Amino acid sequence: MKRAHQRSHIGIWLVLTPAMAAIIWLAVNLRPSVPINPSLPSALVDEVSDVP
Amino acid sequence: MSHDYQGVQWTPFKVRYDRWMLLGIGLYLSAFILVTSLTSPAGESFTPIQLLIRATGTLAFGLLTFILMIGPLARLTPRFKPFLYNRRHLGVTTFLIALVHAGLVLLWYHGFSDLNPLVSLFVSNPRYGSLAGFPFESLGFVALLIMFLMAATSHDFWNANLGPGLWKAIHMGVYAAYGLLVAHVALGAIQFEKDPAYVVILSAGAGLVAGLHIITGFMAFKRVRGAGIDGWLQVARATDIPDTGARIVRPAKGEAIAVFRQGDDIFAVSNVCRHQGGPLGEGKIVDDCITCPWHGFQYRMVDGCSPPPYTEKISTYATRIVDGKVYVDPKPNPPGTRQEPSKIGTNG
Repeated sequence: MKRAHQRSHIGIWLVLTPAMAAIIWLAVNLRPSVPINPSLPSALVDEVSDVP
Repeated sequence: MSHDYQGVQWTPFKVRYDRWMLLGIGLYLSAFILVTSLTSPAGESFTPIQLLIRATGTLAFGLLTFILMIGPLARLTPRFKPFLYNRRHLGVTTFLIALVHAGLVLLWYHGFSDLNPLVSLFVSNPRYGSLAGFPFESLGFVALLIMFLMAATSHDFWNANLGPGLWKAIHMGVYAAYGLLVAHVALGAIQFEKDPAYVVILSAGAGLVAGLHIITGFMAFKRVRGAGIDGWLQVARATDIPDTGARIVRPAKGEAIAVFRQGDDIFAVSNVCRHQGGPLGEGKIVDDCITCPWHGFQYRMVDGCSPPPYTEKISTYATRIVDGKVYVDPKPNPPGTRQEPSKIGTNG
């Protein structure tokens, strides 16, 4: 790889790595006990909500 | 490398590789559907489409994670170089699997809406301002668009017409796509899967990819040697350069230099392949030609010219051996210039 590409390559990963870590950490720690995401299929919401 | 379109040039190795790839994909999808069906709690079964959505989604994410690890792993061990050579096939296949996943999601969750399914995907859940309940499907859709752009321009036709610099810049978009997919999984599947294994797998995959890229990225910059003598860079002891392999040196200015040994002959050329900027010094000599590890582009050692009918040329460099140590002149010769090799045992 050219020097410029190598620099941008490392730069991208130095930004992307903490961003990915933060989103995973937030997603895990802020998730509700019952999913509230309207994008989720209702069958899955029912399943984790223990709705018969 | 031509500006005209040419079909994919199949080789027996590529055919074998693709057969194993398709077999692996078939086995994964079958195993996922079978195991999920058998382990679902009584009375809670998934429809075949839901099973396929999950199977293709996990497969596409897993494959992209593996694809992104191939490059740095190939720098750490030559065992991964065959994967590097055919990474493009795996990438296009991953896009197609992701496309099936997205198509099934649109059909199953948005196909019965009064709205256009694509519009429904973006407006049915308006919680864009909140992390909890974020419409994660939109993240996957943007990542799919980036993967489409990459798959559509993956052929050498586009590389030749766009130029290696712009082509490479477009294809580095895969990193953004991967970041979006990590967020897509974290804000989607992780929100309703109670099993901690999902969090562990996602974190381990993303962590491995990021860690490998950062480590090998800094390793590449460390390949700097001392000033040597008379402004020439010291490379290594001649016998420490692997036969038909190379050592890479990086001058203070300019691109890196790959110093190859074939038997008693020492040659030096630019480390940057004219095709896609691949690291030639990580390749080896095949049929008396330096062969790029990325896609097999070749250059004659003595003058840096691709063998006919190809016309690419790279810079050559003068070398010399003093007290058994190889030195290289950091000033490049014009691309395609003949440069006689230094010979071990006769130059010092």
